[in-house]
Amino acid sequence: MKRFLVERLLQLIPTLIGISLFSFFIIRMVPGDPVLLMLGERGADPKIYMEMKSSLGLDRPVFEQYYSYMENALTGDFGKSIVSKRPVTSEFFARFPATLELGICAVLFAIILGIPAGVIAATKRNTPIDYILMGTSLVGFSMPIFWWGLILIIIFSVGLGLTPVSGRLSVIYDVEAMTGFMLIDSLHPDVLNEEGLAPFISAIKHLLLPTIAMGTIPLAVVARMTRSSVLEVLRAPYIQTAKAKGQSYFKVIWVHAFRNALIPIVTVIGLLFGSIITGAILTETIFSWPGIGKWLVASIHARDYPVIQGGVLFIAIMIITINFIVDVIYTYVNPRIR
Amino acid sequence: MEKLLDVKNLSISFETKKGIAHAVRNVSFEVYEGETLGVVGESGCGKSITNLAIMGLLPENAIVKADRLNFKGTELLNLNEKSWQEIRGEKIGMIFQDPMSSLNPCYTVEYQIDEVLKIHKPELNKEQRKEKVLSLLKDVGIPAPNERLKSYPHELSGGMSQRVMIAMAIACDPKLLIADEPTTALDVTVQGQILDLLSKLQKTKAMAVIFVSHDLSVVRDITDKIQVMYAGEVIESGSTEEVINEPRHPYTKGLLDSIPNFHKKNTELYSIPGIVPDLLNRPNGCQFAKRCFNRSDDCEEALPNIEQRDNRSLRCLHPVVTEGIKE
Repeated sequence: MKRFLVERLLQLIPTLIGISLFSFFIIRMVPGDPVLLMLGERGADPKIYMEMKSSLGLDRPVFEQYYSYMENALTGDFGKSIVSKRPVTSEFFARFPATLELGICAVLFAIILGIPAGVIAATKRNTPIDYILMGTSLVGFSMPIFWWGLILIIIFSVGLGLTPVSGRLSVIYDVEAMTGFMLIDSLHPDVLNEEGLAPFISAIKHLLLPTIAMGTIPLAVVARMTRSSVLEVLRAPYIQTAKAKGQSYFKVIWVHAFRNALIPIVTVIGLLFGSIITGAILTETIFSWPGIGKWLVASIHARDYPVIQGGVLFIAIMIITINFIVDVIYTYVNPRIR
Repeated sequence: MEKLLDVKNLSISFETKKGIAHAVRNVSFEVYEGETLGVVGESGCGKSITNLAIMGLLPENAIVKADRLNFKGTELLNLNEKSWQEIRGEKIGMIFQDPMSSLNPCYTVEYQIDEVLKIHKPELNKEQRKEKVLSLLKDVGIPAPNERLKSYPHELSGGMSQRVMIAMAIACDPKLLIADEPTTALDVTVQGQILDLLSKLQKTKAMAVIFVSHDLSVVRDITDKIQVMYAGEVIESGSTEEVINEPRHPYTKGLLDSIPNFHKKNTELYSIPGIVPDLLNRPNGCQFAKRCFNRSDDCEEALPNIEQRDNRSLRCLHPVVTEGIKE
């Protein structure tokens, strides 16, 4: 286990260097100039333009820029946002919990509904229940997030008036950001004393639609993967052994089949976290969710180089970390690679 | 001795897209307490299907019919799932062909043996069960059983896995053990050890054993009686000694002749010509007629009846006459 940990940490170094190079140069290859965008394309005084460019260090050769970026990055300084003038790191960590909270909820939504749906479809194979579940999941998988999000808003917010349309919390409540996770912060004793459970319920209501919008595609993936994985495992001889022991049908499925079927499912769930970021960009834009997806899109429009570089790198670290955690879980699920 | 298993005219068919396949037809046999029955025949002759029917483990598209399918006074036909679960593992144990894939790769040896005790012996507490698991592992000849408790199946050899399977199957002292080709996937040396173990356990635990194999030379050493199956029918049965020394059915003789003789070098190996009939489209007469060296025209007219004489039965119009071939 120790060796495994060390190996994985060492693998991290080349990956991160690669990602930093990639994000650094790709954004500079995109046409557009952050200084011009700030000054406005018309009427920019060449003198002011040059002054500003050199103050941002953008007049130096690209390789020199990269070198000093990396030098500072190694000390934890990822530069300041060109637009807001605030450090990239603090900007990122102010928004990251919102995205993580939404992402975790979306993945949990996918797991909690997807796994039982997949198992039921597998055990009721080729029956109407199977067809309905798998047909629905195919529709879910094909649903574009931006469209699905709007439909949800039309039905639940506009039509039924059950849920809010945007943001993380109703404006009438004031919850101090301790962890950044609204579901946790709203349960802080001070908040509970003052406002009771109302802020927590409001936070859940705000989370509901974005979670569904973002979690639908992962839900479909998990359900289909679970179904095929369980079907494959059900053919294994050890399932017959379990039945021959006199084990009940329920336990044959959930103790013997499911435990083995889980191995590929865990891998897929790990990969889903990566695709969550893509989902976050769309979902956060639709629901005005103050997370990193929305922030990154705005930064790309403004050609805010330090934010893009830092943001992409942080997201990469996050995804690598999640995949690492999944790998560790994997060794517990599958005794053969322990 | 008391009759343990009484099967009368058992037929099993499967609904397939191409029609109904009659996998097993009118099979009758009895197993008495403490007795070992060998079931022999080539692949696809219905040996395993018959045994799965006794365990109630056939797939859902199977249609089972029988005049009697009786185990210790309990009629097994149309038994509900709950009652089946009480029989499986407790009254009838079963071991399978491929021990490596018959154990669940995600659970330890201890967990998997303990599971049987948990299901059928709820009166035992955790320590008692652990003690029982250890003594079972000792019974099946696993060295250093204490260290093996926490092993996973992938850490065991084929022989070891089969021993664990046997421990699981005999955990509740079943009256009947069904061994479905238990040595087929094992090395020859290990095969002998497992056979020895099975016959030792059969004696000490006074279990009846149904031993399924395609290999007559394996069955010969450990069974009291044999039934030979062909295309889902029992074509010959009798005491092991009689069937092996004086085979009456041409198919049984063919099977015996197919065993390669280690001591006769440079002789051509014998094989029965032809293939088994299509179960969807069975011939009218004797199922073996097309491949038989002893056939005449009447063989293909109608299915021969089973003739019972003393303890032997035979389904053949023109049996082989053997003058006691002794080795």
